[in-house]
Amino acid sequence: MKTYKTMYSQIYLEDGKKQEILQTLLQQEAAPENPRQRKSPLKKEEPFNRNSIGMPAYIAIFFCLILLPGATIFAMGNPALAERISTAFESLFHTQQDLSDGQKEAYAQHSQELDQLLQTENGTLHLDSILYDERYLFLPFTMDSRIDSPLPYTPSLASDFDFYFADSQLPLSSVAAKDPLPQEDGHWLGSYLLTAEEEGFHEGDVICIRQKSQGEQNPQGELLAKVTLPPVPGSQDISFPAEQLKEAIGLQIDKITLSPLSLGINGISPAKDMRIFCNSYLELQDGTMVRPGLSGSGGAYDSSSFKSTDFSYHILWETPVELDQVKIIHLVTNVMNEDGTTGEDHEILLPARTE
Amino acid sequence: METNSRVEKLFEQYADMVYRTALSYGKDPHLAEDVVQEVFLRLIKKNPQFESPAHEKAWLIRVAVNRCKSLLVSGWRKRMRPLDEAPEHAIPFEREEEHQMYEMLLQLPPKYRIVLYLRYYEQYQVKEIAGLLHLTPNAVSARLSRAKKMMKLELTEDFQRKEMCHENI
Repeated sequence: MKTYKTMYSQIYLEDGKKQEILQTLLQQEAAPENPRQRKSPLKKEEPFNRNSIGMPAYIAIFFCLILLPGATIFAMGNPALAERISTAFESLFHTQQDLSDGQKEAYAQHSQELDQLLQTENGTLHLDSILYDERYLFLPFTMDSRIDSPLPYTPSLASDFDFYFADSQLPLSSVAAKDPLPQEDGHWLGSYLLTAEEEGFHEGDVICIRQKSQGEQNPQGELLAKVTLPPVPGSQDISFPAEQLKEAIGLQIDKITLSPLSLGINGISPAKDMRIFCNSYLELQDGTMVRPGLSGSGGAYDSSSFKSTDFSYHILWETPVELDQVKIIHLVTNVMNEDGTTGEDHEILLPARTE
Repeated sequence: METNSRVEKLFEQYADMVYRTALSYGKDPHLAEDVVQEVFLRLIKKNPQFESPAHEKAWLIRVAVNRCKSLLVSGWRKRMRPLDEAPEHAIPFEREEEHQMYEMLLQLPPKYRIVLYLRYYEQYQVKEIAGLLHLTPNAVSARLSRAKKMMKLELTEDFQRKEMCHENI
């Protein structure tokens, strides 16, 4: 055991990284009031078996992208933009997207054109559009091809940037950086997919894009861009029988939100459970099934009581959804064991009526 | 300023512990760094009041383990390449046997690595580990026993491999 102890004593956070994290923490703490927390308060510590179900009313707010300093904002609803986003999604999911007019409209409602250039070691990266809802931020980009570098992409490109909220300094979770694919016009098309997990994206959130830190000398990289976001059109709270669900699957679900892009499930689970919903899907009026493109969990933090865990699960659909066409939400839940195995799926059918 | 001092103090005191806990569970240094930041951000946001320093430390470990689980089982890491994907982390251990032991630990499933770490580095008792990981004391004992057997087996196989190498030379 002596070797074990001496081995572990040599594992520690590097000083530069430690300082970087501490600086972020102190900035977060120093913020006089966090408007994000005001809009999306954290759940209070409550025992798992509480009696009342909190069901905060949700008001869908139609909005537009407010401002991007140094960048040009174009009008919403641009059909070319929907095509552009669709192409980026195809590269993300490796699926052909034959979109209906309604689906194109959904993309158009949730997206904006940008005109932001970011310099990287590999060349100039052009953030040309943004797609977002309450839970996801999708940033397709193009890069100019370079004669001396046939593929303008290296792993360093993916980690060139930090994305975080300006006011709270909370980092965005980087879900994926998609390898750029060559396009007919000679450009390369790639994308970043980010989430705010339980925090969610809200009106007025300012997303900062910063050059990745360069160690102790430069713990915070150069600020490259700021994107001011408002929330999402078309998200809807879904009605569900909370008590019956709790009885059936032992899980307290507080909120289910459906947008044309994603599904969000928030609640409280016993601390020992790691809940997943990754096999959930939508059934449309015409019998078509919409499958999840990506799913993930966030906000699974143990309360100080050690007895329950707040959870936030979100699913990004493979294609955009016309909300009035959704007939049934097939909520498929399971418990992930520590060894990565799962138990039996438990499927719950929720009619897609809203609150 | 008082809270700042508290956060700074706790960070100074426990950042490495949280990092080691996260690395023990997830073996990914980038994930471990993220977990350190998220655990302390959570501390700032929730500002929980603890009965004792022991409870404080236990809370940090618990949140770190929980966050690791959340990240590791999430669809993100199963289906997509993480943004900060990086090659295996190389820790410059002073002695070769420490490096070998670390390599062997990496071969164990997370549930065994974490009980070993909590028992033999953090010096928690079986009952305390059970409380931290929401397991029964028997389950913790069983995991410790299996983990030690697996480590012993790894060490034996490693020794045999070296012996064979020497014979071949």
